[in-house]
Order: sequence, then C-alpha cells, then structure tokens
Amino acid sequence: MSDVLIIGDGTLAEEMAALVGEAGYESAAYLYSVDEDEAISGLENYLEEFPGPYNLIIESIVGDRDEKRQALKMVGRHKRPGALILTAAHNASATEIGAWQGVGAAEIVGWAALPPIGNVVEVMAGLRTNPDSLAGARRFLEALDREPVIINDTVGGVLPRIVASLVNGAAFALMEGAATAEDIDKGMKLGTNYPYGPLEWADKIGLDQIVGILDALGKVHGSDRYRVCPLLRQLVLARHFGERTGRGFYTYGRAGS
Amino acid sequence: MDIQTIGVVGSGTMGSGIAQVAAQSGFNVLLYDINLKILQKAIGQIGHYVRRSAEKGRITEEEAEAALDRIATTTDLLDFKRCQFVIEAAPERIDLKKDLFHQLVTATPDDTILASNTSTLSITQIGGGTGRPGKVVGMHFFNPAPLLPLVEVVAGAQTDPAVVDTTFELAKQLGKRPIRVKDVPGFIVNRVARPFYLETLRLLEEGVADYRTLDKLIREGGGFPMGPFELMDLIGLDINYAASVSVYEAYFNDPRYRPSLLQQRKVQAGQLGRKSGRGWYIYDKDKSS
Repeated sequence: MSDVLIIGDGTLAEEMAALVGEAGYESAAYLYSVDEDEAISGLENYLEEFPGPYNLIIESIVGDRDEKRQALKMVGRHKRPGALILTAAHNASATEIGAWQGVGAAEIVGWAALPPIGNVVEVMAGLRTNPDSLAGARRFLEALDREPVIINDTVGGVLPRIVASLVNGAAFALMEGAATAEDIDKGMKLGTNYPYGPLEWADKIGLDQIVGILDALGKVHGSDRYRVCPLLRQLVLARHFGERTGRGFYTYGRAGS
Repeated sequence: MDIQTIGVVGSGTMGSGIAQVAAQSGFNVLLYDINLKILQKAIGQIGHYVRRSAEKGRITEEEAEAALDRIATTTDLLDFKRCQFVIEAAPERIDLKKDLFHQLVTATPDDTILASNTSTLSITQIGGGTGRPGKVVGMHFFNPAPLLPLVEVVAGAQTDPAVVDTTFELAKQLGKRPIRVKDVPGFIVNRVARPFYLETLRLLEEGVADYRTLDKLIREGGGFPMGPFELMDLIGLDINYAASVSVYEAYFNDPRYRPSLLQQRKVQAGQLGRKSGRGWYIYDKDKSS
C-alpha cells in the first residue's frame, strides 16, 4: 500500500512526484492532465480506487484556488489521523489553508519551490500548525535530499513570488511591444545572468501556475502591484500553459494539436 | 553606411569602455571630454586594460598598440565633424544631454548617427528639438562595456528605422549581442529586473525571512548566480535605488515599481554596498565604521 499521495496540476507536482519516487517511498500520484476540465471528479474516482489511508499527502494545486480547496477537503478523508499535509503555499498561506473547513490546521505545513526544483525547499508553518508537523516536514524533505529552509508563513513563498513578478513584468513589456519575447529573454540572460529568460521560464513552470500565484498575491495584499498582465491572462484562458500544452509565450513541438 | 570614425562623448567608465571596444574592433575613435585631465586619465586606463589583455595573451602586442593608436582625444566637439557615428556617455542629466545633442547636431554632418548610452532617460526626449530626431538612437551598453555582451538598441518615437538597423549592425561589429527595444522607461533589462530587487525587499520588510535566507533561497532554490542583496551590494545600493526611483517615476508611480523605504534608509546611512565597506553585508569593518 502507498505511503505518500501526491496531487497536483503542473510541472512542479510532476517533479515532486519523481523526487518522492526516487527517494524510495511507496507513492501514489494524481496529476491533472492538461486536457482535463473536470480534474476534481477525476481525483474523486482516483481516491475510490486508491483510498489510502496515506501517511503523508503532498498537494501542489497552484492554478485554481477553488480546486485546491475542494481537493484538500477530499484528500483529508484519506489520511491517517495526524498525518501531515504538505500544501503548496504558492496560492494560499498555510494559515489560510488551515482555516478551510475540513482541512486539519494542526497538520498543515506550507512548502514552496519552482521547477526545476533546486537544492532548497521553502517550508512554512501556519499559525495553528503543530510543531511536530513542521518537524515531520523537515525530515521528509531531507529524505528527498533537499534542504528545508523555514520561513514565516506567507502566500507565494519567496521564489515563486519573485519569479512570478518577474514574469508578469516581462509579459507587460511584451504586450506593450517593448521588445520581442526572444529579445526580452536574451536581454535578461545576457544583462543579468538569470538562469532562464523570464518568458521561457514561465513556459516551463506553467502560465496557469504563474497567474495562480499572482492572483493569490493580489488578493492577499490587496495591491495593484500584482495585477496580472492581460496578455498573460489571455494565454491562460486559451490554455496556452507553456511547454506542457505545447504553447505558451513560445510554441513547442506539440502545438497545433 | 560606411562607419570609419566613432566619436565618444564623455570619458568616464562607460565612455572609455566603449572607446576601448570600438578601437579594438578596428574603428578610429575620437574621445571627447570637457576636462583634459579626465581625458588623460581615461587614455591611461584604456592603455592599461588593452596592454593587460596583450600580457594575458588574449591579443598580440601589435594588436594592442594598433588599437591604442586608433584612439584620438579632443576637448572640442567641433572636431566630431569627421565622425559618422557618435556615442554619448555623459552623466545622466537630461539638461546636459539635450545641450550636448544640440551641439553635436551643429558639429557633425547631417547623416551622422547620434547615439546615447543612457540607461534611464528617454531617447525621444533627447532627440526631440534637435532638428535631427530621426538620427538619434539609444545604444545602451552594460558595465563593464569591454566585457559584457549585451547592447540594447533603442528606437525613440521619431528614430528612423534605418538608423536602428545601422546601430544594430554596428553593435554586432563591436562584438556585442544586441537586442531591439522601444523607448520605454528602463528599456528591457533595468525595467524587467526591478521585481528581483523590489519583491525581495518587500519580503524583508514583511519579516518573511532575513536577507541571508532570502539570498540563499533565490540562489540555491532558483539557480540565480547571486541573491538580490548580494547583487545590490555589488551594484551599489545608491545606484540600484536610483534606478528604482527613476523607473517608478517614469511610470507615473505604478505600484509595481514602488521603491523600498528600507533601501532608502540604507542609502541615507551611507551603507552603499561593497564600495563603502558595508551594505546589506559587511565587507570591510574599517571602511564601514
């Protein structure tokens, strides 16, 4: 029987599932397909077939907060009492998720990273998180050969908030015709030594994920600072999520399908 | 267009770097500064860098001496009549630049291209009122100009597209990798990079983590070569803060670009980064005290 359940809607969840597998855990993963509209009913069916109970659940649903909420409520019924839920802080803080009905606040620990997942993973406890849960999250991430770094609970964490803001700014520049996508990425790589140009990085992370992060930041901070670039939102509405769907800011092999 | 002689206005760090690049790429260079002493110092610096390249075997001694022989100096802008292309790298003050461009329009033939290396000012504004706005273009090098490959070629609202093309080709002949940019505040790099600093400063202000932890998460979690606080210390907090203020004001106080109060306090305290011995990190206890 599986020990760890991973649910998620993007490349980050896929990478996390791979890390858990490589670390030798018996794991089950429900990863939303990009063609799927009814991801929640799919999850329900999956949990009927593989009901657990699980010792640890990792959630990474970043594109849609309603789906995240429904999914967390659903998987909460498939864990052992006291089992930890590592939940993506990209679009909700651990404290907020802990306050959602049907999700046990004491067992919620927030995590944040971006694909490709680096050597460190951000970890945060909500105001009602049990200290044992935080310790358990640290041990688990160390078992994945990642260094857990504790930060204060905040929506978007550190890296997702910074990179999503960089992408949004680059999308505005593109929308305004300040330069081509290629020249924006080339400029940032040559001029600042960023590991990727912001637009190509967004295509790797998933444009839906970027918008999920920005919308949550805008909601929590109540600031125009995180206003999503209209072009970026249009691309997400068209399901041009990036490499996963074959098209985002750039077009990839699968495009036209 | 056949470019043989490039005029460079201003012999500070950027001007002398650009003059060096142009001379080493085979162009004749006429380097101008209002101050003869600064000009002589710049020539000494360029000579030092070019000869060191030869010592390290990157170029031959003959190439080094030939490049240095191609650089002439002047304190009179009227000598720029023999330049087909001019790159202005004077201090970032609009009144000063407008005045220089007026003089350059008088001093140079009608088809001479007048480029500005500005990183913060509008090319449209610099070119406006010169009587030759079609020939005015942005050519933004990055510091140190001899080493960094990027050049932003900026088209002002009135810049002739052929002038943009010529400038783009010239950047390539200088061994650079140019991109084409419209005349928006901060162009691409200084504008798009702002959240890297500003969001991280906000995270510090919100107490999410200390600056060391934030740097570590961005470096090791994101694969950035340096964290924002380390990078601000390298650039100079005053320079970085001024860039944020400039972009913020140019976008009519768009909250996306709002500068950081915490950073302003550091600048006011004279904690400017490596150059003052202390910024976010401490480098030199003697200098920072």
